[in-house]
Amino acid sequence: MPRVLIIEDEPSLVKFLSQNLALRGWDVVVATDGAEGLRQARDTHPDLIMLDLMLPVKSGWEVLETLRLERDLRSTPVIVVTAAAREEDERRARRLGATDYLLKPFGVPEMLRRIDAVLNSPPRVTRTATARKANRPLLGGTS
Amino acid sequence: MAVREQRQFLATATEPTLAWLRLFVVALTGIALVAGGFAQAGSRVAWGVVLVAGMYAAANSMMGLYRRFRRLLTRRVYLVMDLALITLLVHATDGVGSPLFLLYSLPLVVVVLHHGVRAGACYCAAVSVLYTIVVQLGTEAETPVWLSQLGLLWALFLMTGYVSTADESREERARRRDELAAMQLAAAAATHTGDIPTVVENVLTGALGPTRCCYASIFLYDEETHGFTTCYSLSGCDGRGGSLEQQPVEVLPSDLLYQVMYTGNPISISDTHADRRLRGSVLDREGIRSMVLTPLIAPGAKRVGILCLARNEAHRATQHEMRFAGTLSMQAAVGIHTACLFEEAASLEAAKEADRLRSQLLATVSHELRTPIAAIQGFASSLKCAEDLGGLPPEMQRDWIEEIESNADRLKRLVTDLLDLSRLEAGALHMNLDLQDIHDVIDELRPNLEVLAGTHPLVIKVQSTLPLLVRCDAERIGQVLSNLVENAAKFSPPESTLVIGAERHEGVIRIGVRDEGQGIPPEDQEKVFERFYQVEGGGHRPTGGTGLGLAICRSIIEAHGGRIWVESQVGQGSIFYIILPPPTSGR
Repeated sequence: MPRVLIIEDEPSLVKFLSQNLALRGWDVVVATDGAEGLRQARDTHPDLIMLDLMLPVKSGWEVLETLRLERDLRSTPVIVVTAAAREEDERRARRLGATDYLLKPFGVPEMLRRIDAVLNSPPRVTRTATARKANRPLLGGTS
Repeated sequence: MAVREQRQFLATATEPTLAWLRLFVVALTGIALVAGGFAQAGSRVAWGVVLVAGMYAAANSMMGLYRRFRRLLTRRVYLVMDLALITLLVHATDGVGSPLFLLYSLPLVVVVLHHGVRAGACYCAAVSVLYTIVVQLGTEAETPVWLSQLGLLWALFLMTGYVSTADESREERARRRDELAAMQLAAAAATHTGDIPTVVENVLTGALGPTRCCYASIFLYDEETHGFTTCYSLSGCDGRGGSLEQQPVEVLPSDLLYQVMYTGNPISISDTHADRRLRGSVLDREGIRSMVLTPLIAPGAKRVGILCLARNEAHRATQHEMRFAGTLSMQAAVGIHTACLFEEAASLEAAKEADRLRSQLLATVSHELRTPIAAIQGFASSLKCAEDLGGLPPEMQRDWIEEIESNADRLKRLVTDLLDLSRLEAGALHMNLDLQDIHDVIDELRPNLEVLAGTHPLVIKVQSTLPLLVRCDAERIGQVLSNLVENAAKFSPPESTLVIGAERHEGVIRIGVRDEGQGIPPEDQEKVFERFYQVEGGGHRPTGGTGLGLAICRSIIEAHGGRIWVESQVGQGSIFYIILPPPTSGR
């Protein structure tokens, strides 16, 4: 059973993500702030992390940076789920090592498609420009 | 020093004063003559001289001959007449031995101090020749007396000449020092402060000192509208420093100022009464008789304005004065131009900052709007996709629909709040200000507030001895209180008490809302009133808030002329205070 860690502070969205993924056979772990998210990631070793950027205690940016520095979690795919619509935010998130950038709002089919794409792409430890380009999925659509 | 003062006196003395001086001279000689005439049983010549002297003096000082025949009777003519009179007197009294010879020294002092050393020498030479002729014609010459008299005269000339030159060079040095100081002031102004009035004031103060002008002004020129905009003037008559006056000016296109500005050539006007160019000009005003106008032109041929240095007397500007005015205006042009550039840069910077803040706000608003929309879209599409999973438990379905509803509600509130706030900040939201008693306001709100407090016991403590009258919009104040109570309930542990209090405190009405929450750290106490600000590190993250409540509260209270702030200690709860001005304070 694949395990997903959802780091999100908005209760409605936590409910939306966790219930949908649970219904589709995921083992869901939830953290509502950045520090807790990091702790859960270390404890549960999820197969996928869905990360909000605006989080209390520790922001999503910090979490992303820390994840990418840790040996065990470096290759865990991270989908950034955020309402920050500026292009520079997306560029920065990808530079910090986000596997994908999912802009709110989005529907269930889009979410599933992104997750599939992330999981089925070959695992990358070192990221090159060409690899980044090749793996870049379509963005910004609202399903 | 005495000579300098005397010189000043002579220089500023008007013509009648000199006339009285002459009258005094003539009267003195007349008295001497009468006394001598009686002693010598009166010679006809002596009486004739007294008559001439008397007529001359009377006509000179009383009938205003000097002023009437200004063209004819210049100072030089007067001098010749004085000389002739004195010579006649000397001749008529005792010839060589006459003590009246000393009278020659009086005009000498005046001539040296007034017209300079060279004129004094001419005077001495003329007297020598005249006197020699008279002496040779009259009594038989007593050479030693004659020579010693002339020697005395020349010695006096040398003395006054020396004093005058020393005085002049000292004055010259003082003026140079003043001029240098003025230049320095004008040059330094722009580097120290970046604002135009200060630069202008420094230039004008510096200009008044060394030029002995009593009025200095700068007309600023705007290259975009091709017109003069502002006039800064400084008046320093009677040696007292006035203060800088600033006023907008309207200058007709035919004005002399434009001529100076466009030709770039300085103009000197020695007498405003006689000059036709000034007709209808803004410069034509009471108390100004002469002036120098120099253009202020900054590097890059940029027209900055006109410097005007004016006096309240007719005066022909010397070459040196023109050169000084020119140099000063160059310096001033650079200073003012620099100040303008400073101001432009500052306003650009401010515009950039405002732009940055606006785009940041836009990003935040977009983020805040996207969050409930994400929930709505997410749950809607979840419901739609649920068929693929072969149906959902009905309670989950209902829960999702409720989520959609509550997020739609949140979105609605967010939009309303945003609209309210933007109208409040633009001052477009109308306040129905009425005389209200806080008792009534809170009583009316009580059921509403109790609902908002939820499980928290709500205590209302309103000072009951006096009516607490304020001029306010009861509905808006109710909105503020509801917001505060809602916040307090949201951030306090369950079952903890909330207190609302109102009292008269130091002449104003103070309302407080107290909770027993975890408190707000001091560095955040100001920021909580900002839009979308939420205290970091809170274990109790609020749900359903728009992040705009306190910002709206602050705007409403400020529109009432009041103040809102929070006093709090971490771990010991917070008190939000509102102060409303009493109705007598004019609102």
